[in-house]
Amino acid sequence: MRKHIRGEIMEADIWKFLSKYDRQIIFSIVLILSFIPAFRPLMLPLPQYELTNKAFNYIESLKPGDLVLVSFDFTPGVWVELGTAMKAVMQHLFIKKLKIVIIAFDINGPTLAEKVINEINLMGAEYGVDYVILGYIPGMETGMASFVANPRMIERDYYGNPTAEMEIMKKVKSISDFKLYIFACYTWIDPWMRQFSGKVSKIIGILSSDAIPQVMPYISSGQLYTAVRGMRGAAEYEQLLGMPGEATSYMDAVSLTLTFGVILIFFANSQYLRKKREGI
Amino acid sequence: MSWIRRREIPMLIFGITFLISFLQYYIDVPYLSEINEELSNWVLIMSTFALGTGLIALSLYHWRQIAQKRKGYPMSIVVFIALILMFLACMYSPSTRDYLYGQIFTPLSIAVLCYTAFYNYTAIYRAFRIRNIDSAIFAFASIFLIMLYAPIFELICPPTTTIANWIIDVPNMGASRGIIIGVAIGSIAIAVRVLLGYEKAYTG
Repeated sequence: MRKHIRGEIMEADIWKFLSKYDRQIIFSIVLILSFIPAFRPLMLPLPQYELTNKAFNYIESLKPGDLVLVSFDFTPGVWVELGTAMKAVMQHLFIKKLKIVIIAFDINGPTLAEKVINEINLMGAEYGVDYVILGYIPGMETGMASFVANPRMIERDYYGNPTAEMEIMKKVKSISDFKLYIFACYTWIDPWMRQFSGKVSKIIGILSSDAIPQVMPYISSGQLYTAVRGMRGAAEYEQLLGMPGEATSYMDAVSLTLTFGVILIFFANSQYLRKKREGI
Repeated sequence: MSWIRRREIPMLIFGITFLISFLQYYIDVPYLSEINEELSNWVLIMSTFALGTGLIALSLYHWRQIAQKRKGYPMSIVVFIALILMFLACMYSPSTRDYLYGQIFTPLSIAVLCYTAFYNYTAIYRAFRIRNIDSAIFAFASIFLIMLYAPIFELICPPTTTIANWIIDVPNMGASRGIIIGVAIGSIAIAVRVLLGYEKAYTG
């Protein structure tokens, strides 16, 4: 009888302790789960998603020398989601020997573009001939509209070099010269759709995972050709390229922490039902 | 004179620029697209100037914080040090700039955002209680969408992906379309209201 009472008191103490320090416990578990794969990689296989395949196949179908417009419209805070995906996609563009014009509608864009360029294999591409960073275009949607109306509007690149003399820019006459437009953003994609849709052959969005549900109507209508969904998409893209990198290494941590999220939902509801039953 | 200064001039400017941008999109009128392009360039110039005025406003605010030794003023000193350091690095040492941006600013930005992830997990624990049918739908949809982004679930139980994709492709698609159409209609309504002079907040 005494044992039973002690057991009940202990059980009550555990629930009390869990309720009081729930935040600390959850933070600690998430932290531990994020670190486990760094010491012991689980190497879980990664099933491919059709949207990522679509992006890969379209870039694969482009011919060497085709013009591609890329805009970096995100901040360093979302590097893990979008930076890793941009690295994988940009690597593919350089492997395919495409001509890449880089712009940015976010002030952080040019620096992030530089970071990506520095971290990937350029496959012997030459600045000004095979790729160029035009820099930041202010005004957001108005900036987009101006660029679409006249892609040669920027007279000097990010480093201050005159663009008119660059071989790559001589190929650009109008926005329709670009075979593909790739943009990476973490917000509502409406401005990009309004200004670029129908003006370039295909548009691919590199988007954060939480943005994917919002953009599905655009993919369904064909205004957005396809999207790479954040870090998961980046990992899938790295696998398609056969070059597992940063994103692939993070996927184990994603799997573990999200599993914990699902467990947490069930645990929270069992707690809720217990309290309801006990009339707390 | 004062009533003109307050209301009519900004409304007139809005009306003219709105009509130019609006009409050039639908009607092929000579010179209208050139005027619109020029107006767009003005906006770009003004946006660039806004960055400068933002910098001045930021500096003035933090200068006042330091001068009056308000609460948290040491942080304002940090702002000035960071500002000057980045400016000098950009002007004279690109390698230092790369270091400051890539090795300090970027990891700090990521850290701030990651911090919210920890709070999200706490939110999952506190908010995902199935109290009624609405919260049950919300919780189950969330579970399947969480599962969609973790490859482990796809390997353990492949139907989770099918269900999650159905949620994205069917109910989510309908709701998102509704939101997009609603936002577009709302924007048109606001534009008409501003054009007719019912919305006056922007005139100051």
